[in-house]
Amino acid sequence: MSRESLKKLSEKIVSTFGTNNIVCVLLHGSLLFNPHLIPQDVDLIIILKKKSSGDCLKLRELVIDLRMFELPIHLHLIYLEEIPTNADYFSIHTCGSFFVCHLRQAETLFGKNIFDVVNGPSDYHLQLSLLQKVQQYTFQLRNLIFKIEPISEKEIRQTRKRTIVVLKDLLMSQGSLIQEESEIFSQAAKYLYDFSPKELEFLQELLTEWTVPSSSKDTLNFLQQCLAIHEQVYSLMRQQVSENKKCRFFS
Amino acid sequence: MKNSILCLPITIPEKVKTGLVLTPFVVSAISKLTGLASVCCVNLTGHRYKNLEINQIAQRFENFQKLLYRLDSTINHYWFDNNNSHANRLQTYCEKLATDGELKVENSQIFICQCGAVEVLKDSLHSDWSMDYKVLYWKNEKAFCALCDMPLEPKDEACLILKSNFKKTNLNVLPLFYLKEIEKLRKDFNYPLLISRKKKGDRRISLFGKTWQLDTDFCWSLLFCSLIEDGFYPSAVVISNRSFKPLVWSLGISQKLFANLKDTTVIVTPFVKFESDESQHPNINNLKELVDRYGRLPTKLLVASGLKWNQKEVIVNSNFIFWALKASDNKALISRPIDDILSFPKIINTMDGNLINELITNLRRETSVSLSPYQSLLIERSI
Repeated sequence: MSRESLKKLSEKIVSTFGTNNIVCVLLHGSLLFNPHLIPQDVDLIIILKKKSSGDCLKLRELVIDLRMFELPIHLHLIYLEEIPTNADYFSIHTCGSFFVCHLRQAETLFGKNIFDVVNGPSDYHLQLSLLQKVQQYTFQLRNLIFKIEPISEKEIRQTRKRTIVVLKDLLMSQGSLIQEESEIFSQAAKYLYDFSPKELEFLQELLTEWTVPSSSKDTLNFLQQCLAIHEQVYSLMRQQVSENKKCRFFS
Repeated sequence: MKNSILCLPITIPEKVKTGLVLTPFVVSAISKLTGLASVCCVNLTGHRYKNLEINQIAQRFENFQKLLYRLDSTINHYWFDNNNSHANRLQTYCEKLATDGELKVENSQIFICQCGAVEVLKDSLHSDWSMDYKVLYWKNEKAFCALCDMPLEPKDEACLILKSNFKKTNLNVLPLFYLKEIEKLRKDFNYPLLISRKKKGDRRISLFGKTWQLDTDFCWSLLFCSLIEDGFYPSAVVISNRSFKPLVWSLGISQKLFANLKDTTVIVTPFVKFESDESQHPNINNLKELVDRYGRLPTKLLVASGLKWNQKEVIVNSNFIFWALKASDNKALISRPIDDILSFPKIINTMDGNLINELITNLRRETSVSLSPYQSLLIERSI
């Protein structure tokens, strides 16, 4: 998506809700940080000052209108009163307080990025929220492999994306906020000492010459390899939380 | 003419260290407290941008400006050494210096390296006053350029030489204990300055029937003159205590052209190191990582805590961020109104890092804390 299209999109949102009512419109996600990835979508956060009963309907109409844009658009509507001054109390979907750090790196299409004036999160909540997210991704991937119905291309691509995302989360738990895929891999490599050469080779392939597996056997094999990465990362993060004496796991 | 407060030019690296924003941080805060216009000077030329495309240099500045904005250190005016109006004024400045007999052509022996980063008068080879001093090193009694690693070769050339003996006007220095050191440097500065360049130089002028390439440091050092012509009178300049030489040099050269450039207050910040334990992340000496990770207020408190004016060197440890974060969520705050005229010494006193440490302790303990105007400015939460 071009700069011009993004500008138009932001203008459309602003004219829908009015400049006085918008705190900010933020672009985040893969379009901003990894525009080469397929499938691509536009992740937007809209923060409004005041709540009005018709806001979701307005947004629905906007989404219908926005079909003219070449990419699917994911909008999140948040009201200013819903944003805590302490990041420890913030979450969106599977993402807990760590997501505030991610949103500070977003591109501000309109207004001022409110997340810069949110404090934190504390180290405890950052670690906890990252662990929970990797936990959810790992469990969901297991479910996908159990699934008897055919696995869609979208699910396969999402798994590939998430395999890199869990590495990003691992890095974030170590204090590095990196968004660019190739840098994530090179930085994460030092933490992947338990990975076999085969697993590392697989990760490298994911970044460079990966294509969607064609047969169901290849698909299952691919998902298994992705699961191994998820599990390794999950294990490393559990270990980290245990070392900090914040939680104990059964062994 | 607007009275202004400025910082000496900053060269922007790829990753902005926390300490680098200390002077613009002070400039912005004092500007907000006094109503003086805030000016941040930026060097966009010089060997530290070697091999970078114009758009990459522009991107560095954009990122730097964004970081200051994210810290709420807004700046009213940015001055650039590559600004066209400044570049156009260099010809007039040099003509005036030549008319006044300050600038002369002399056949001199210069020492020059292969890449052109070092060009120095023979007489200044052993002087740490030469701006090339930082990129020069000695091996077996021979001078080398640290950038191309090649020995300097002597050459006899016609050069533009500037008299240094700078006018000794009174300086107001804060904290006062730096005054002696700065005055001594001004007194000792008595070397001829080579301002023409054979190899490297972004700006050209015509003088004495010849075209000359000018030294980059000479070009930016005329910033005070250029700012006055842009309508900003430098009432105060904020420098780090590692920047006395550039201050003496630039103020001295500018005063040759603008005799009325006086009564400028020099505010000297301590040298602040932001140290992280190796095991701790993110690195508190990487400003972007710091703001991304903790947000604006804890970062502002961390930077502000380093301004312990009575110390020459301050170390801010990463543990501080933990307490800053804890203090950042105090809900009951009472602001103290601005009730008197703020002078520079008074402002500096209220901006002391020890008071920030005290504030953090109070914020953690008390339900309500009274804030000085500066503290109100730091803690301001509206968007």
